[in-house]
Amino acid sequence: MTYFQERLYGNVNGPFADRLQNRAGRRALVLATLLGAAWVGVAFSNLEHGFWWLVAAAIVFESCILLLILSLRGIFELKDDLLDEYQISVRNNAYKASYGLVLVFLLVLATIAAGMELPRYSVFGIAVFAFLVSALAPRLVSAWNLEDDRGQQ
Amino acid sequence: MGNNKEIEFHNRLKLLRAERSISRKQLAEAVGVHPQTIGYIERRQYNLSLALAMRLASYFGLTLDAVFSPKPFEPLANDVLTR
Repeated sequence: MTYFQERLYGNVNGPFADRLQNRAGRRALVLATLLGAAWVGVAFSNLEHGFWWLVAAAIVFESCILLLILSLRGIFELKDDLLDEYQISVRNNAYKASYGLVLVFLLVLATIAAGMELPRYSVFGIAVFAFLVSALAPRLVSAWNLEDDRGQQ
Repeated sequence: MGNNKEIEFHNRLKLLRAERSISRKQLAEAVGVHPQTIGYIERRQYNLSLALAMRLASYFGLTLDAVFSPKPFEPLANDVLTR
């Protein structure tokens, strides 16, 4: 196990990750991550507002991603050897479900964007948002669908 | 058994754990899964593989059909009272 994998494995199975195992919390995190991605997109579209606006958006977005990884116990980051069959099945099902969702999302976004007169930077911002959401789609789908974990009796 | 939502397998894991005072964590470590996975199996939110089902049954020293069933189990009290 590499140093990074070892640290990640320790953290995703630690007490802080245990506190992120309820469904409502995970769903709130999914929404926060989507808002974070939208904020990063908007920040890219309005670069004239300054570099720090983008940095703030990136920090919020990255924090959401870190919390998402912890709440999913790193099933998308850790190697198969460190996961059990349930975690592997959740991950694989999330990938399968997200392909279609990403396709629909990109088509809707492209249709909306095509119908609007947008400045070049806005198009860039939308592309960044689309990329971030598509890249995170399996994690978002999985976090949205996972059931509550009611403690370790 | 796969992750098939059409067939839900009932199990006696929680009962067996309670009877032997075994925590989810202890059971999970013994069969090589995450404690959360034991919880999902107990609540029938995940249909486990045959290999894992056999590991669990073997941990308790029971046959597979004593721990898992496609039909709901009769309450053990019924069995005791009708003897």
